[in-house]
Amino acid sequence: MPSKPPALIVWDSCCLIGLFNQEEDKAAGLTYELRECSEGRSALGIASASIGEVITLADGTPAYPVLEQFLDAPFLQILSSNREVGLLASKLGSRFDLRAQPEILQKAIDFGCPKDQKRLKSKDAEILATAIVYNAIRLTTYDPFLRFLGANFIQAEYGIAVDMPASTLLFP
Amino acid sequence: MARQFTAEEHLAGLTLTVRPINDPEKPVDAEDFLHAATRWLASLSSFAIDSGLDVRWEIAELKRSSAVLEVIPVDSTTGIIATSIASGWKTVVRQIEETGMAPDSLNPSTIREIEQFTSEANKLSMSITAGHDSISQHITVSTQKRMKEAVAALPNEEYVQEGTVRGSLAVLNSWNQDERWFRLRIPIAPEKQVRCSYSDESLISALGDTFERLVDVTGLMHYKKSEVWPYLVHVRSVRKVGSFSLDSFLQNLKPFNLPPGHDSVSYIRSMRDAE
Repeated sequence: MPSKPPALIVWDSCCLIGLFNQEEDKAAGLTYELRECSEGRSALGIASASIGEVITLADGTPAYPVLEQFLDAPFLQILSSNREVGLLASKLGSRFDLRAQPEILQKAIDFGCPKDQKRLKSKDAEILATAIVYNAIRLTTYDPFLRFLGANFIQAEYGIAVDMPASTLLFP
Repeated sequence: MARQFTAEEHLAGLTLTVRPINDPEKPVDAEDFLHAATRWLASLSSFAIDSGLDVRWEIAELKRSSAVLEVIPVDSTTGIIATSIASGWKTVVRQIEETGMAPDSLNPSTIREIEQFTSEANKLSMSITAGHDSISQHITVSTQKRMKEAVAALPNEEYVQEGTVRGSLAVLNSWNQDERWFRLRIPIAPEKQVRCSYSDESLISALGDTFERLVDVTGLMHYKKSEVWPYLVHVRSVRKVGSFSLDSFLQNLKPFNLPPGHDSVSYIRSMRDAE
């Protein structure tokens, strides 16, 4: 009988940078999630779409050798984009184009999103769709627009949290 | 002790008889027999699932030489013999053989399993009997042709793409040079085992040291529409996942380059907004 699988947490690209750069507001939460994964309570998913967004190290050398090392973490699964991800990304991108939805756009601004962020861009949509399609329990991100959509639509419709790291979500 | 089935219970049985194709009097090769029997059981299992039944297959008869295998489907929960499968299975096989079309109630994967089973008759003489119908049905070239037609008539429910999937090596089958494969267990979906087929012989020894270890398998991934994980990979390469220590990793983090005034969120946002 297969054992219960670890819950999947997917990281947005900003989490990779936030961890590697030890950003003050992010390092503790992200390290906490890594430890949860390392101890087998969760698994970490990285959308293949995220990997290419990290290009150069601060010393000017290419980032990929460091990324390769990280991607060898045994608790990590690279999540490929496939047909289902592509179709859902297209659907999300179309639905969350707020240029013709002024009321929702105003709510997004009130939530803290930049005024000029009026739609879900293709990379955002692909990463969000990846997390949904692979049945993640959360997409960890600090991006205000993704978090706004998570709080107002995605959590209710797809059952996935889209938010910053929060230990309470791992132990409901 | 093996269960003794009554004559009435044998009426729920399904029998596969396998003989060498060139000389039916000679003993059948054990590997060929096991291969054909595996295909046969896979198609029966798929058919049982389509019939809404969860059964195990108890061996009711196993004879050597002109190898005969009889199995009886037994409900996994209640232990009661499932009598409907035998007649249903034979009817379906006969219908496809006569029309080249499968009934709508049959799942495409079952039709494919049946076709895979009948394709074993390329190198063996095979016949089946099922249930009350004691007449043997031979798997002939015509049967195979009709099965292929039934598969060809299926809507395209699959697609393929290149990709990589990580998992642990669960079962390794390298004994059949015509069809070498292993199964990959995906940690976040342990109920899903991906069949990975390969032809590169150099992989045999490499795979030996990776049993139950994590590997990244790269190749042509076959997906069923609406499913997340591939069900089959034609393997191009296998990479053992290297060792990793989280503590050591965290102590040696190298920062990424960000433009002045940006943090991770604003940097990623600026790249995505530039599209």
